[in-house]
Amino acid sequence: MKLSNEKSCKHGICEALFELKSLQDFLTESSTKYSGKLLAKLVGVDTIPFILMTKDGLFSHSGEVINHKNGKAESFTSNYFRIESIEKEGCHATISLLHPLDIHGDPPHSPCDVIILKKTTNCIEIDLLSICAIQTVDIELLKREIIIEPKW
Amino acid sequence: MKAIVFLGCNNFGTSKEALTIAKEMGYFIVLLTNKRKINKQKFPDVDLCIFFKDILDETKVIDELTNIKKDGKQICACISFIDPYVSYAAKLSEHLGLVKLSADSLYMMENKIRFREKLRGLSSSPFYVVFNHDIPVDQFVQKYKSFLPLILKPPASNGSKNVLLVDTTEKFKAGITFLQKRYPGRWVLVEEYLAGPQFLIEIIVHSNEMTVVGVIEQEITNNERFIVTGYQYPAMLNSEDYKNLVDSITSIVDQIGLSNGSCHLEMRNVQGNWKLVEINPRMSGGAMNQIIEEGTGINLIKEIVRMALGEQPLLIETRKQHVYAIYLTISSQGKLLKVTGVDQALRHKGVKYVHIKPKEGNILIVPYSMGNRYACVIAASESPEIAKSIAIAAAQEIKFYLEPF
Repeated sequence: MKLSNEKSCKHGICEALFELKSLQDFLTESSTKYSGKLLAKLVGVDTIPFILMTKDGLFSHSGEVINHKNGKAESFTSNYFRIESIEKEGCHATISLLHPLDIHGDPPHSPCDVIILKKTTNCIEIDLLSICAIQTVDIELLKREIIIEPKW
Repeated sequence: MKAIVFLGCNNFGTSKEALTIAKEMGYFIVLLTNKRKINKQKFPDVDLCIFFKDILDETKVIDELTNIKKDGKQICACISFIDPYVSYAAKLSEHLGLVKLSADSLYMMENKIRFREKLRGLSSSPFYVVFNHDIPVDQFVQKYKSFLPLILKPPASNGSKNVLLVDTTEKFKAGITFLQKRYPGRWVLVEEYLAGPQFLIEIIVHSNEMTVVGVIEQEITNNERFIVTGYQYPAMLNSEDYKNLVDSITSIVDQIGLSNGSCHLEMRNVQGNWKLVEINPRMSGGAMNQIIEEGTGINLIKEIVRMALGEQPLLIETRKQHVYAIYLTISSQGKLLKVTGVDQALRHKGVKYVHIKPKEGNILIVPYSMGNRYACVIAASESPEIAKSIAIAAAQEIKFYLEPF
């Protein structure tokens, strides 16, 4: 009984992520006869961000980004990802890390401090068999711009 | 129980502070308001809040005040710190057999055309003309274009709302047309543009005796919309300029017939001549009370309340400090996500007061009236330069994080 449950769950995650990838591709690639790439323009993002749950809790991974203020590489940890490719048969996926930032551009202390997600080139391969849940996140996090006022 | 009745109140500044001060003086606070959003959390000092759709409906207000009296409250004063209720509150006060302020003079000051007419001929009065729809806009513009640059004002606005500076025939015409659309059928006051530093003067007249409580130099950064972003107390005037200013104010107050009441004037020093920009029948709004109190030790609101209670105001300076208040405006619009730097600003030595007006989620815009100033920092020191530099350094700590839309 337990075995079959596990199997269907794993299968479900793979299906779900595959669907997400198709949706994401559709957003970025679809072009219609009269409106062209209007859909991509309307949505304004090429990423559907998500978080993953494992048996032990929220899945997280470390990566590196270049800090544009000082030009140095800095490591960060993220729970937010983008799907890059998926291999259904082997239940494997390549996901890239999204860099979460708080309002000051610093690492957020808690999920509610996350104001912006930035795409990065840090990719990892994951075994989908280890994932038990997936949750999409607000795409606004990728579009957000912040102005700091007043300007002195 | 002794009660004070307040007519109208803003969410911040002088009119709200007056409630706190009156409460501290031991009175039962009654607020008559036309704002639905007044609540106990925002206005903890109000003991009884009565909503009126139209506060100016005298019969209803008097009925309500009679009910309050029947409830055993002894109404000791009826007062307002906001337009357009100041003269009306003075009238009610008289009606209730309380203090008699110069209600007619206060009424005159409530409309910019009214006081200009009354003060016509005084050396402090600038050239002005009223656009009253007698002639078409084109003709009017042609007739007065030689007086450019000019200032266009809706006669009953406050906080520099829709006060426009026009320096070309096109802008002149566009300005009149804009104000006509904004205030259909209303007259427009067209005044000579007064070039020179601007000063704000708080005065109290008690039994015909005038006291200049404070002269404050104003710094205007946004020239087209006249947004005041800096206040320096005391204004650095030489004794001759100061004497001429007091003479000028005295003749204005005489002409307007103010024998009992408080008001503030805004005047510009145009090459040694004092010219009246405007006069308002109430103390200035915003953080003016803190500015004067830091500089002189006088709690002006308290003294105005005392006067409304029929007592003699005490206007004795107990300290002498230089004060600088800076107001922050922004240059792009958006939704406020977060404000930071308040604690850091307060840590600067000499900073007396930091206030952030908007709450998270509010929409912030580039200033078109004084109401669009979003933070205030007040610093005090032994010297005017130091007070100003502390205020600026502290204000630079404050950051508004906005999300554009």
